[in-house]
Amino acid sequence: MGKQILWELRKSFCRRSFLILFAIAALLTTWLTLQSAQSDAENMPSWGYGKEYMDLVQQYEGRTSEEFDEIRAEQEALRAAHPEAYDCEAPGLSDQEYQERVERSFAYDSFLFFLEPPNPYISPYPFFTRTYLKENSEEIDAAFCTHPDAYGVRALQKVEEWLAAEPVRTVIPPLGNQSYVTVGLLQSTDNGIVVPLFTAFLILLLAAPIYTQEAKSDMDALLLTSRRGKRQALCAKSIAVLLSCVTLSAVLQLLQLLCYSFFFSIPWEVSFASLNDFSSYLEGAYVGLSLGQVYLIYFGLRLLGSAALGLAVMFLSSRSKNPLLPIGAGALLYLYPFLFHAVSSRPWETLAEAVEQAGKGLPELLNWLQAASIAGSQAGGFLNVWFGYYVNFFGCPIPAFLPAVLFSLLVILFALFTPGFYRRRHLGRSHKRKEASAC
Amino acid sequence: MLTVEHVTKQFQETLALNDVSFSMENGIYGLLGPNGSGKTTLMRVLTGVLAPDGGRVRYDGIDIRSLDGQYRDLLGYLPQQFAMYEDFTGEKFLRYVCDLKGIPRADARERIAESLPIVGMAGEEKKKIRKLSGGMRRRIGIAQALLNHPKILVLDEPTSGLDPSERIRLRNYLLNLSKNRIILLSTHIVADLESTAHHLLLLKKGVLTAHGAPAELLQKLSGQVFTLFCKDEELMQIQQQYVVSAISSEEGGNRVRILADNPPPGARQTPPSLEDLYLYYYGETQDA
Repeated sequence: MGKQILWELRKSFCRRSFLILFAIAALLTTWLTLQSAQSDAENMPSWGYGKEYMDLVQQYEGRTSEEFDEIRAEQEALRAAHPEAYDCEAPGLSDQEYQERVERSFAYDSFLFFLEPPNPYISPYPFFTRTYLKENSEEIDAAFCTHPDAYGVRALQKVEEWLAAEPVRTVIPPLGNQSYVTVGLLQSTDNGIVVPLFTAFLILLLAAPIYTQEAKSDMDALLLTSRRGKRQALCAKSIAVLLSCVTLSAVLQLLQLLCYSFFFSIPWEVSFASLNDFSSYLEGAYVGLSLGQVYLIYFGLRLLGSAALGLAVMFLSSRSKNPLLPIGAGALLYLYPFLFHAVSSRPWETLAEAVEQAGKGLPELLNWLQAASIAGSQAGGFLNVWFGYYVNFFGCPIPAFLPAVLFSLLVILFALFTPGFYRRRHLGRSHKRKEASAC
Repeated sequence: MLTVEHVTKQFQETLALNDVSFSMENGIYGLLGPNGSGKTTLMRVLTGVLAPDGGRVRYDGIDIRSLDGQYRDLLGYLPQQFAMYEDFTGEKFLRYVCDLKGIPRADARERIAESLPIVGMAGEEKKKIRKLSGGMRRRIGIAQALLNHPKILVLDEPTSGLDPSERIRLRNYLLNLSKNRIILLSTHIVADLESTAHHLLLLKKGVLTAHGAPAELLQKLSGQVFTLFCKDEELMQIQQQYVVSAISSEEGGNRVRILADNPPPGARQTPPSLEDLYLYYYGETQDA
């Protein structure tokens, strides 16, 4: 069997054309990630990782929903006390300038309390406000509202002042900023998208010809008439695809990690739940886990997703003579969650909410279909190794992945029967069965 | 002995094989028939690539389905359109087939070294398959079928793309092999079977219309093959009236070979050939 696996790897993974594509993808991944990491490092505000900030972050680790409610209540009170804050538009800045300035700093977290209503999809960002707004509400008011034409600059200065930050460049390498690093490594936004995209692209190209090339070259006849071709070689194909997909995904992920390591000292031991950028998706998930542990989980899940996608495409390949069919179907499977997101009138929501809605109102069927579609998109989202926004759709901690994990495992299990389906397709029903039915 | 019993195979509306029965012992069996007559389907059923819808194939009295791996060990098969893996070299491909056939690595080298000269590919084995000509690829295909010293060798149009000297070399080699093997080969080149086949199988639209030793089958045509000389202006009329198997130009006219029950005056009887036999069963058109 080992020899057969090696041969299958030579035929698929070790093809010169594929290796060239893989090398290009790896180089692009490296280049784009380096660019991204460099940009993150340059734009990182110095106060983002000051001791005070870290203390605040740690303070809210393991927070409960009651604490959230308390924070929200505080915000409401603050907004009620400062209605003028909603009108704090900067007259001197264009919308784009305003956005750029605001988004490049953690002062944005503070602004949100004044400029935006509470939004379940954009969490209250409580870290600054709970302590600082309480103690410095007047200063904030002064900074943001009494001098609206200068609030962007002044806010940054104020926050830096409050946090007694160290200079930007000197602290980046040893400490790093968990938030930026985490966004780059785990989320699908910005340049982090290249890894899942390249992985999926390579998987499609790798797995689609697995069976179609045999059919096209009439090698299937040779496989099915040789001693080891009928069973071992076909099983070896599945194992080779599995190994190749896992390797592809692992290499690209590790490259990305390596690139980030050039710019940041990644704080693996920091609590993942405390990370600002993930606060909106967590809702109690990952409590007690460090960034390192969560990264490992993500890493493993991405490998699982890659294997599932590869095997699913391989199965499709066994049903066709033209590799374009499995490539197209695989791409659709990969893109389905995003297409769903684009065309759905309802934004991302939890399955539980959709199911709850399904029991109400007249368009019950429509709601059930919606619920089914959401479930499908979540499972599909898992398949396509793109997890950033699927972290907590089921409203649970780590086991939230359970349905998606089960789905992927089912895909893998089903696809492992591909050799059987393939033989059956070629050989048809067995004599014995035919005879039995004839009897 | 390989026995085919009432084998039927249908693809949607097309009946590719219709109640085909015959048996084979050691020797060369030539499978003749026009395109679409079911030759490739029959070969795929014999090799186990396709399961028949009805009937069965037995080897020494045992259904080949039951023999499974044991039967595959006995097989050497050259499919009709055989593209192989273009990235592989000839040698690498043969090593791959050795592994597929379960030939130990130590023996594989020896088998490859012995099979390449048989097909005239010694020294060419390091070339990538994509750089080989159609005929050379065919020869690598034949070499792979021989690697496991098969007891049953099924060759689907092995000589297509081969030059005359290679065809002769292959024919002679197969003749030697056939003493203790069953060799079934299909071809459009009737001459390949003329000197080698011990037995002929004639398929037409999935039905085995005739089978037997070439001499027996040719006997049926005895007294029906003639040659005659005709002028150019008479040629058209002769072609309309008789099945013409060959025309050669001569001074002042043409020498024509015809199949006829009632030959025209002046025609001289001549011994039948396999080409005459082919025309007798299938006519002059492919879909006859």
